[in-house]
Amino acid sequence: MAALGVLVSANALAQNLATSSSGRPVSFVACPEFRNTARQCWLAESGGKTYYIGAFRIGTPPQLLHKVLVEGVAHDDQTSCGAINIDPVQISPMPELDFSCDAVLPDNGTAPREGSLFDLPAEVLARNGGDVPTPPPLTQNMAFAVTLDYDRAVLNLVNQAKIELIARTIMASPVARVIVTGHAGGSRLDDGSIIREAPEVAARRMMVVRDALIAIGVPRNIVEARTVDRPPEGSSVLGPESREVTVDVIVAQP
Amino acid sequence: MGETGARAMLAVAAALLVGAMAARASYGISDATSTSAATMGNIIPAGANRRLPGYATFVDPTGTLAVFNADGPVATRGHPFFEPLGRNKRACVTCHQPADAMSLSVRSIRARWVTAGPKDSLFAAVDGANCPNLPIGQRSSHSLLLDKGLFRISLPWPPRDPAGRVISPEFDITVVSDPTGCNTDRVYGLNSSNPRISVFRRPRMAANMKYVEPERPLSLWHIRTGEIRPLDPATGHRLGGNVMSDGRALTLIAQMIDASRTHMAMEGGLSPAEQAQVRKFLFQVYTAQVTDRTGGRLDTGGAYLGPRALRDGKPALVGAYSARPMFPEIEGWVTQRIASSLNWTPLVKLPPFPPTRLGEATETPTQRAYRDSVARGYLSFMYRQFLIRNVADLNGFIGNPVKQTCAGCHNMVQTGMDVAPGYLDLGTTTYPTATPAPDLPLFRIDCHKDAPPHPYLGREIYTTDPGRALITGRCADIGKVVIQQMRGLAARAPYFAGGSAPDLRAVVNFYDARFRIGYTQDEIADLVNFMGAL
Repeated sequence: MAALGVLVSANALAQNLATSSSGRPVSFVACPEFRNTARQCWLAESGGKTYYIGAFRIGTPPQLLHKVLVEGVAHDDQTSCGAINIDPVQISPMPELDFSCDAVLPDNGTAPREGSLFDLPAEVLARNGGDVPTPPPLTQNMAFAVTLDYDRAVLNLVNQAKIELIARTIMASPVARVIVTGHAGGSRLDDGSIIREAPEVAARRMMVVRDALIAIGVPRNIVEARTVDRPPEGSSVLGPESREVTVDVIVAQP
Repeated sequence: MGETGARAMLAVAAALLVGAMAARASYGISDATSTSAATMGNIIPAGANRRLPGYATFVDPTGTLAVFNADGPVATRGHPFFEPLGRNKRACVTCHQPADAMSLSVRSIRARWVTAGPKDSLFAAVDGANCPNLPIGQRSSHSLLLDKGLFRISLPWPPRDPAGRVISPEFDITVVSDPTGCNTDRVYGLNSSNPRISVFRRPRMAANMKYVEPERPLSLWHIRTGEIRPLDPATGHRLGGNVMSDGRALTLIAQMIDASRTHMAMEGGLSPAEQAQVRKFLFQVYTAQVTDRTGGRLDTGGAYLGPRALRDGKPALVGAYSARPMFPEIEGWVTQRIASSLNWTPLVKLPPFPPTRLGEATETPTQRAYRDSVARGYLSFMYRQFLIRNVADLNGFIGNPVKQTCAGCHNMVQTGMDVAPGYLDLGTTTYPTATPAPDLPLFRIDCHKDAPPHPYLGREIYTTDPGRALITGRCADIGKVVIQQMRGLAARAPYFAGGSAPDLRAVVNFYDARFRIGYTQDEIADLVNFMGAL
């Protein structure tokens, strides 16, 4: 089955982890710390180092009262908000409460920022609230993948755009079958330990993607749903790509 | 009970104790002192033969409210919004009074009790009493309606989906305290043969509906939950979900059907023709404040507040940009002098404002002080930053905490609703942040281990109203309700879905405490004046 390329392939982070020539992969669970600046910096400490894990953003941001799984590429020679930069970075707030994660670091007195009250991700701004344009029809089978946060089945803004594109691609194509498979994976942490997702999250993931495809307009009768309590086939490391929902599209024979 | 549970229980106990005193202090029980002939004269009884003018004004506690029928005067006789169509002789207008901004204020509820008592169908046993099994006519049987403007909402447990199928809930619910007796009643309660949960809520405004149910397609996604919005079968548009606090009816028509069958005890509910007539009426009626007792008219000096501006506005616009202000009707009162006098740091740079406003030189000192105060309150609402914490679903979407402003959530231009829209647990009904309410039932929620927990309250939760969770059965939805519009506020106290804020100052005080904002008394007064002008 062919891969789709950059549009909706297994996420960019996995590619960067594999190909990055500078920086070092990191994966750890820690309490996030919120620095109350104009940029609203998020920091996290691991192995005696403080990392910058992002600023104000819409999607899957860190949460106080929850530990966070941080996966990405650390660049020791780059700093943001006074901490080592991780770029790209994938943030997964852990579902259960942890009252020890409640650090708000003081404001450093920076001025108000420019712009609007909301800064939306580029993917969302590009859509400008409109529908995804109708993609060209498929001429061969295609595999899509949507990567979700650790132990969660919520579709963030980026995934919403991906699924809409997948659905409209299917709807524009002569499709015989769509196989939606939810996976439960995990992450291999820097200290050598492995954390694994709850098995039931695979089914929840499958259902949210399946239901979204059908709600957008993919015919229910061509959708087949599966749940696999293991990472997707070919996934070599335990990381974000182990937590995918795969959508295999089988085109109708002419 | 775990450590978290013990801590929550202690907080609840303390809250109940403090609340017993606070509730007594906040809500007077002397009906006679708050009753006036003017209030009763404005009430439109079900079945009345009246002519609602194209533009009607009503005195309210801080000034004047206007109700504008954009299609012209409305004759009430024979109109399904005004006729008593149900078995209990109620009409839609019984609970959606023009003088109360098409909602219902405690002020007018008390006036009706003094005038007609239980003979007024408003106090019908089905939901105008704390429980239908209580003796009708005794004040204590109707205390939640008389004290807080709350109607009983009886919902099936476990919940049902729109097709009537049972939803398997992600949590167990236990009645901890039942001051109304309804949740433990053998006929109406949770353990009856037809298990139901009674919660108590305020009626929403039935006006300015083009903003509540925009007649244009909204986006495909509910961006915070990542779910596809349902389709309106009548229009083919995606539905926002701003109609009801818990989203149990997603369209105005669905709400009408539900309300006519339950609140009005109408066999079969409104007919399709009646639904269409009521909908047409509601989509042409606009209401907003038009004068302030001390500040005068709200549509002069560069401002143009009032219901006509709502008729002319465009719905479902996000107003969090200086180029698209939240309440453009007020912008004309904001000047450089006011903007430079602020002693807080805005979230984003303020846009330039003119040196003076229209007619400023001829303003009386009182008028000037009022307009300045409203303008400062508006700027605070739009730009004053503070850390918003532990609000499900907001913080899960943009970070917990997040530095935002009031307008971050109340972001729809001219109404202050949430364009997104969405269900948020602000904490008005969930402990430990809820205002203590010993007069309301208290529920304990135990979320199942295999379900996602509430993001900030965990798996053991105490609440007076589980909100959206009573519809979806989801643990993460506990306490969530939909933001309502901010117009006509002066005419329809008390506030919040559970009526927990007796006045606008209490609303501001709740937010101040909830988010540790640190408003000064002057800032609170400015915000109260701003909201009262809407």
